[in-house]
Amino acid sequence: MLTLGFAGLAFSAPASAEWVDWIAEAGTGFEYNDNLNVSAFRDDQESDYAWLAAGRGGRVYQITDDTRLSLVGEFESRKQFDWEDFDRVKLRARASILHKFGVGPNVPRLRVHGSGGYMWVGDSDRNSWLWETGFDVTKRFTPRIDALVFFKYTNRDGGSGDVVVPTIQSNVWDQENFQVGAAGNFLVWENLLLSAGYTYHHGEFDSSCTVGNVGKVFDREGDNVKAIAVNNVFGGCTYRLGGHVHQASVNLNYGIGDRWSVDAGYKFLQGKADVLIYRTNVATLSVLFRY
Amino acid sequence: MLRIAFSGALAILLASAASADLTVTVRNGSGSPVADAVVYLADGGGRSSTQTNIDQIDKEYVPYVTAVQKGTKINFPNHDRIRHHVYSFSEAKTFEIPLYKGTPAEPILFDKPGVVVLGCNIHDWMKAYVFVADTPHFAVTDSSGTARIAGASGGQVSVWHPRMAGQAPAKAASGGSVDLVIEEKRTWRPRRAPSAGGATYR
Ligand SMILES: [Cu+2]
Repeated sequence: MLTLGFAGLAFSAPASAEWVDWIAEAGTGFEYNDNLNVSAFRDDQESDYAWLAAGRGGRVYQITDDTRLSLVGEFESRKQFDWEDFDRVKLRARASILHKFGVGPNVPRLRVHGSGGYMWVGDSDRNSWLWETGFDVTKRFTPRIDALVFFKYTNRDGGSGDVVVPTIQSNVWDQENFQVGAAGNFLVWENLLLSAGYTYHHGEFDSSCTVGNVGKVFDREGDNVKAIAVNNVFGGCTYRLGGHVHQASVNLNYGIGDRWSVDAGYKFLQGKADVLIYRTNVATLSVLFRY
Repeated sequence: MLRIAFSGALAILLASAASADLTVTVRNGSGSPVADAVVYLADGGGRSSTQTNIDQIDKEYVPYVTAVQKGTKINFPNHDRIRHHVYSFSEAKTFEIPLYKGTPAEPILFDKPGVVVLGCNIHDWMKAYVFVADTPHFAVTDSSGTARIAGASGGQVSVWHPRMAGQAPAKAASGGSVDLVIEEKRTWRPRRAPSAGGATYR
């Protein structure tokens, strides 16, 4: 009976289990951020431009006819125009399993992923390990419209800065976050894709302010300041808060042939701690390539 | 001498009989030539070829439109170094060739007239059409919008195209040629170029 069972299993094992595809993607672009230091105070906000570059490379392993595993190395970097302490390079390894629930363009797809990596920042106090796991469900409704919902857990494991208040920790860049979101893509024209998305972040974020505003932060957030450290990048302190962030984004992407596209994106983030509100606008223009 | 002249004349006659093709041009409402249109005669006996190929090259089906006579077998050679998963949900032929490389062992028999839409379960943008005709007299237009139906000189000519809006009435050919006009509508297929988000099967 056991033998029979094994025989059956062997017979139903897909003949297709093997490495089947490559992933090679790259992008470069230009970004404007109007609140690089994520300050709650208008007089502290610093804006800057940056050059961006990113790449992904990996392989796809076919597990069954409907399920694929991908192993990908990811590279992401930015070079700020003025605030070089915010230059950064991220290197990550990511594993994803993608399952398609059947055959055809409109069946839903589930992707489960996990990644780990390291981020080097110009201001080395901010160097951190980055961990992430999550899943998303994608569904195409028509050849022109598809949408996805996702959940993501992120954990940033950074060092500690110099202590400001002896009774408060200085591990500002140890941050935990949960994200849920949805996004939709609409093909406006054969080559023109309009995307819009919303993400709700629940967890922690950091903010930098000048010495003059530190008092106001403690006044209004009190115990919600989980950690604070001296940070000279913006001439004062960086602190970690608990709160949530609403993020809305819109992208207009123009495809050039099969492998290239130009992408214009805009993102608005509004973080809310107990009292303070942190607003950031980010605009990007990039060129994307996929082999 | 006479014999040579006679055989020469016969050769010319035979050649002109063999080249008795019906030339069909297809244009759209604004007068531009329409490629990939299937033009076919209403009826007629005989048999066209019984087997053909639709290739997969650089994650696309080639050609985009294939016309065959009912009863033709089509094979789907994959020339890429990756796998494709061919499928059709069309009424005229529902089938699936799960992930494979190279040439499948068995071709697929198209035994029912109609239009078959092909997709790939890995690459959403891959799309192709098979027009299964009831007649051996058909052809597909080239980039100049022209097709030649071999061995025919007249008859009622019909047209089908993936972007055709409604059904264009058949038109009688005269003098070995006919011009057809179709109304085109917009059709969509998922975009292949990269985007920041998007639903790629990766
Ligand atoms: Cu494919």
